[in-house]
Amino acid sequence: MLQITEVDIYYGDVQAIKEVDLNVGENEIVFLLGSNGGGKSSLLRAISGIVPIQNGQILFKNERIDGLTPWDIAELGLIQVPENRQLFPLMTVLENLQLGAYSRRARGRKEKELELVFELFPILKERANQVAGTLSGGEQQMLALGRGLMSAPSLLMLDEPSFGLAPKVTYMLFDAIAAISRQGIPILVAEQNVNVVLPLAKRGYVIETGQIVLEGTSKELTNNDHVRQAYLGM
Amino acid sequence: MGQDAKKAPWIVLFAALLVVPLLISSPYFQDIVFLVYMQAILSVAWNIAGGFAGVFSIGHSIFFGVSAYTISLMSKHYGIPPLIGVIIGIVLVIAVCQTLGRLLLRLQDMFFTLATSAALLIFYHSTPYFRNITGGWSGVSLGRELGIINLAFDNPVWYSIIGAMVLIAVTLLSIWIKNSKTGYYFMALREDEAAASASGVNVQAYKIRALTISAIITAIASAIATGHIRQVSPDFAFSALRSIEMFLFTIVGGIGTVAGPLIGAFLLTPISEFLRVQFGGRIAGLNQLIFGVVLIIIILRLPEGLVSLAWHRRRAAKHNKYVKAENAKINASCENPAYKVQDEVLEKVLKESNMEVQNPDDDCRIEVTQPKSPVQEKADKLLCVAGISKKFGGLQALYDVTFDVYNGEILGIIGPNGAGKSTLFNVINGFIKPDSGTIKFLGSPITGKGPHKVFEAGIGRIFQHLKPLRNMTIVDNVKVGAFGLTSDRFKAGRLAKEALERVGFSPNRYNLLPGQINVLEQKQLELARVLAGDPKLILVDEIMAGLKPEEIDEVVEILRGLSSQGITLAIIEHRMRAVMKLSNRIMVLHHGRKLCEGTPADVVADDDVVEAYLGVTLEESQKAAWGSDN
Amino acid sequence: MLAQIITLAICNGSIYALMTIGLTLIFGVLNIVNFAHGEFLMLSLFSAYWLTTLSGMSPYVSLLIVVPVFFLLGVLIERLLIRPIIDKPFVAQICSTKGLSLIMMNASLIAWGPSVRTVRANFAKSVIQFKNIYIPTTHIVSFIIALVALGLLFYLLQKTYVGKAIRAVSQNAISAQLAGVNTKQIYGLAFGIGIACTAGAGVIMSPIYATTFAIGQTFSSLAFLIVVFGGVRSLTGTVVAAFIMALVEALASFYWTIHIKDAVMYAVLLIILLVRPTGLFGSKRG
Repeated sequence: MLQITEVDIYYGDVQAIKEVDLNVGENEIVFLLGSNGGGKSSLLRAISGIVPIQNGQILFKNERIDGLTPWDIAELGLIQVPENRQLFPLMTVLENLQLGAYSRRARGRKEKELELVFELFPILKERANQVAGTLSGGEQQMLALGRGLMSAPSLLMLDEPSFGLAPKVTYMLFDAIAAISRQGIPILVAEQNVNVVLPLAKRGYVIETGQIVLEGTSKELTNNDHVRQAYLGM
Repeated sequence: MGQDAKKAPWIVLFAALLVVPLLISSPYFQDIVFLVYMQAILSVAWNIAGGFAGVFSIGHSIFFGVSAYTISLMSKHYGIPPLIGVIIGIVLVIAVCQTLGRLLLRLQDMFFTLATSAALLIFYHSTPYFRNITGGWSGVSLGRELGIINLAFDNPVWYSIIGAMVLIAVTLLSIWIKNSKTGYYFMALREDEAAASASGVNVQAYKIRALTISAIITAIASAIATGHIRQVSPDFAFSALRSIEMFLFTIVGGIGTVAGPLIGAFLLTPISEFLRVQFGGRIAGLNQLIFGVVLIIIILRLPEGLVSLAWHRRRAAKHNKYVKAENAKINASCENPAYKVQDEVLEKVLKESNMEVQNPDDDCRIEVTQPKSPVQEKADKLLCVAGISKKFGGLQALYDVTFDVYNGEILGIIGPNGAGKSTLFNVINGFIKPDSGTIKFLGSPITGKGPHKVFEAGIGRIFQHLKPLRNMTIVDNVKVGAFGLTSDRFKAGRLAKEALERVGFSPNRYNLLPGQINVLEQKQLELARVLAGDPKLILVDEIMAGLKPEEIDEVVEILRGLSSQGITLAIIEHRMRAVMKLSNRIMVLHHGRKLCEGTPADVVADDDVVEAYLGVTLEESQKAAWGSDN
Repeated sequence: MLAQIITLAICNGSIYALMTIGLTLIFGVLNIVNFAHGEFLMLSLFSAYWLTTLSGMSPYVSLLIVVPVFFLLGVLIERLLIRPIIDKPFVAQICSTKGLSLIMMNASLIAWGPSVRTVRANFAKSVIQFKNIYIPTTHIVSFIIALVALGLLFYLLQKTYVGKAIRAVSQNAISAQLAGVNTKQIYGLAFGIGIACTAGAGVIMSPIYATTFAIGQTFSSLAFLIVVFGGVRSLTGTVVAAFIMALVEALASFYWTIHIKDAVMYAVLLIILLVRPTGLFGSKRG
């Protein structure tokens, strides 16, 4: 589905991403593990077309998408739920969700997707007319995820969904992510919380200082000393 | 040697400024010379506030007008000679400036700019209202008696000469400011207010200072112009167009530079005058229309002004040379740098992990690499934080956080993203006022004091999102911190270089800009800027983020070095290995509350921490997820 | 007498609101302070003047031509001049839009000279009486049109998909992009709508105010005053502030003198900013 080859990203003279290769196949969850400043968000932003790449290429459904605008990429069904929610804080929950379905691709399926989101997160239905800025952290993350689903994704990218959430909420949320995946939507999830992400995904990558330093199945990486050390503090 | 070469063009320019009026006999051209000098003085004045300090006013005519009206009204109503009136005018302008500054500078950029224009309009509209005093829209005229005391000369060349002398004086002042502590503080607050205030700059006070210096020069220019024109009306005194020309000329020439406003005024004033005379009768407004076009072209094509034409070429040449050298180094060191680097990283990573985790099965083992807790009981409390709470809207960012930092220790602060760690630093640093609680540093309360006071007290701050002063060189960045200790620029330069040495910054790269250095060097730069102010405690927010493992080791060494030199450190960190290795004590924050504190070993053994910070144990979570999913 | 003053002020307030709301919208969505705002108003006043003078149509009918044309003009200007300075420092914005303002104002001076022109509506002289209140018919008509236009704008922004996208972009442009919103289009659209509102205000002002090349300066100061007073990003704030300012203006003229009204209005603004540094409905953001 998504294939990234030898991508470089520079901010001014500073290189943020260096020769990154990464791919996501049909029906799979892939994690991208890394700490703050490691380059997770830069890579995801580049895939979504928010920051330009300098070298390499990004293929989605076998077509090059690097150089396209973010809205063109969203139109193709490659959807990102950005870091730290990034909701429309002054709009209602329902309006936030409706905007998720702004693209032509998603607009037709709006009603169906909305039902699905409400089924997945009943609390959002209760709060449909509440202003998004007044939701709790967990509800906001659900809304962000719901908004992403409204875009009718054919691949979903999640940037640190566990950000600032209590463990219980995080596990609940990751259950929902697993449920989304079971519907056949491939997911790329960037995280630094190993505990939730390793059990969720079958395989993934470890990114540090803009480079992929490790790659493997969750089981391999769970037992990898470096991962245990750097991300578990053990 | 280099100094003299730099001075030469200025000396030539100053001489020319004085000589040119003497060579001109036509009164018309004499008037143009005078006008050019006036515009140049005004642009230099505006540049000190708008260019150096980023205090972007479009109401500078207020100062011009207050001075002009004071001189003429004092003369008319009280018979005070204009030369004395100038002094009274300056005093009044300072008063107006301080009042306006205090009122308006609390507003953010754009609000401030709009408010200055609103203030100008108040002056413009209310002056003619007091018709009995101000003479309404036609204004007041000055007497015709000659003599310097009346600012009246029979030969117009005198106005130009006085203009030239003032222009030379303000240009020298502008050069001096640019190199002084004041100038560094101006530029620092222009580049980044948060970084500036955390480096000891009293942002409000320095903004007012910039505005005041600028206003005084404007008032002096106004005095000369008033002497020349001898009729003060609202349209002359409180002209909105003049306010605009002041920034327009500066921007066209090059904002924030010493030469920019001069170039702008020298070039545009004659053009404008020529257009006015040529087409003024038939096509009124053509000169202003062309100004508009010039302004747009400049800002779209040459945003740093005409000065940058000369400048950029020099800087670009320097930069290319540097990049070439750097590339050559990389090529020499390995044929296939990409693979090589990745392998090296991997190798290093694997090697380290083997070395430090002796028993991979034992999840909670922390290797203690140095004797912990050199802390003497309570005797050495450097920082006491008691009961700090802070709410943002519905979010309780901090809840009743209490802890102490002991002299000489390294305190690690950990917690998941969003736990309130950076907010805590912002509260200690004085950026955010807590809802409740107190903070004491060295026994005296610092709660609610501004960041520059906190810096003066001896607390430095490294921001998670680095805040380099982008348009200042590395060494100039650090000098801003050093000016907290001294006002002498040479001494500040020495302190800056010392600080850069202490963090191991490579000396041949001191004159680069922050955009040209790598991430590690940017972190070193931030450390150096703080160090230059000689802090007792540094709050370090995620300095390891985005660094390679070997760079992390380097930073760990730098921090240890600072610690051994007696500097206390409080570090927020996500890199567990680094923080465990580095810290004497660790405090865990979770959802704005302190979960626990203690030695690294204690903290990792704490059940609450394992549950909250690390979630449930890895095995449990695997069971939970894989059990259900598969 | 006081009732008369207040009724007139309310009519003026609605016109001020329509005149200003475009500035608020443009700032909220594009983060650009449009210093040429008043000149668009001036240009629309001239358009109304020429259309009524040359073709003899009622100024209110000319709305149907002026508003769409100014919408397109706005879209075009956004494309050429505004897009390159989005996300640039404030200095760049002020130069670009102030440059545009100088060009428009002086082009008008060159083209049509400094003379004062007045537009005659067919019922310019008629007055509507309600008990002891006398209101010129032009004021009433302008008031109604302004309210309808404001209503349409709020409906567009609150209820339509495009309107929601406009609001979304103003709250979080990146998120909007990720949801598939073409922000470039929205920027053009918002600028066009902003200018169209201003043009509408200009046309309904034309029978009430005399038109000169410099009128843009006067009214752009007033518009900035209202925007800042209302709290920059808040459309509701702008409408409320417009009515308050119209009242302040009327009362200052009534109890004091018309010459001091501007000074009083700016003084009121300064006082508000001292109490609430971000204006009446302002939030911390921004």
